[in-house]
Amino acid sequence: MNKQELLRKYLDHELSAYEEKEALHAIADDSELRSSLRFELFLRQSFSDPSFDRKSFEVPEGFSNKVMMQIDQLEEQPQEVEQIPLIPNILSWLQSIFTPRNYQLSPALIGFAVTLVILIPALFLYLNQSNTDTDAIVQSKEEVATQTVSDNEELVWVRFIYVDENANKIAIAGDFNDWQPYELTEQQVNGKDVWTGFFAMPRGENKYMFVVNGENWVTDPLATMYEDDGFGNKNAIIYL
Amino acid sequence: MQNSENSKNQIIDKIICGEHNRYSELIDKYAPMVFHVVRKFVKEDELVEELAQQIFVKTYERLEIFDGRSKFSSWLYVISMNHCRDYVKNIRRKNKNFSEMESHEIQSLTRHSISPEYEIETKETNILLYEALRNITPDYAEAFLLKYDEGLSYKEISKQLDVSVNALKQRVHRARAELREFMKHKM
Repeated sequence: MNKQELLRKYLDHELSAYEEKEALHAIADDSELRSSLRFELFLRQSFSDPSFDRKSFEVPEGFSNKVMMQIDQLEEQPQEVEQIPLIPNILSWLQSIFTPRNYQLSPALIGFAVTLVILIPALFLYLNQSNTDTDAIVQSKEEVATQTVSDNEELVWVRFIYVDENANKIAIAGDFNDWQPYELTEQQVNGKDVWTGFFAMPRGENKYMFVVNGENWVTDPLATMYEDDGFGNKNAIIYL
Repeated sequence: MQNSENSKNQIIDKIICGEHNRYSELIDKYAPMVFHVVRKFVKEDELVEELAQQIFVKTYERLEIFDGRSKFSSWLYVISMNHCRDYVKNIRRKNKNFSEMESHEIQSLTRHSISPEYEIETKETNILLYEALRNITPDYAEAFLLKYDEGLSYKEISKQLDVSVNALKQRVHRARAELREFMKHKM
């Protein structure tokens, strides 16, 4: 009997008491058999250990590919990160040159009108960078000015400006956006906080109101025309 | 073992240098360990896979800070445990799916091990055994697992597989020899 067969018979309890004693002597004298017996003990310990749950090691099919797809996306991201800010910047720059625009300066409170008069020249300097196509129209004799930079047949771009240094949020709502308030952005012009927004409005009559801090609906005090809204307020009207 | 570790470090160097596709070699190698860790924390298959993916992506993102002073497997094991602990803590905070786990289980899993190195060593040996079982002759592995894992007698296995008891004894013994050989080369 070769020694591996002896070991197998010992492990499978096929030996008599005498043969088992002899086998143990043989194992003790042989380094390879000793090592095999130690490995057998390791196997038995492993499988009797409740933490050794074979199924817990199982990996679903295609797992590696799924992770690698995410890694591929990660690897592509740095290029996108560089591109993402460029696109809006370029678009914004192009827009500032070519986009049609009308400007209307309209403070919410009469008290700000004086400030606005001071700001108008500065705002014209600020907004008048590409006025070679400009067809300036003064809409009223007050401090409201509308400047048409260019237009197309259907829409006219209008910049609304609102001065209220105490406001947290200013929005505009009207026919052009189904009365869903669009927020203006706060900008610094000559050290003053000015709320501005640039919107496309359809040609013809447009009614609108400002919304201060998300709740107070304010009529543009410098609008040239008004119309009762049926709820006790007045909508401002602009003709384009 | 040292050569194997050097080889892993070489793979990591190549990944960092741009051969990111080679990361799949590390995933194939260590996914069983990561799944084993995650399954201690969550039971739902989809969630287990999601967390395992997050762990491998997180590890990839951190590869550059792996200094090679510890074994990659130990490093990955610690990342896996921490990721799962954070997940469980988050569950507790949100009190969401809390019933997934009993409170004492969570405490036990979120507590740091007294001897993480010993824990990792044990896990690594278990993983090696799992790997070995997948690599030996399938007929031998089948008989071996029915005997050692399921605890069936040779007679019961014989009925189940329609193979003689003597043949099964030979298969089991050859399985032992192949397992030992596989593990000797990997350790």
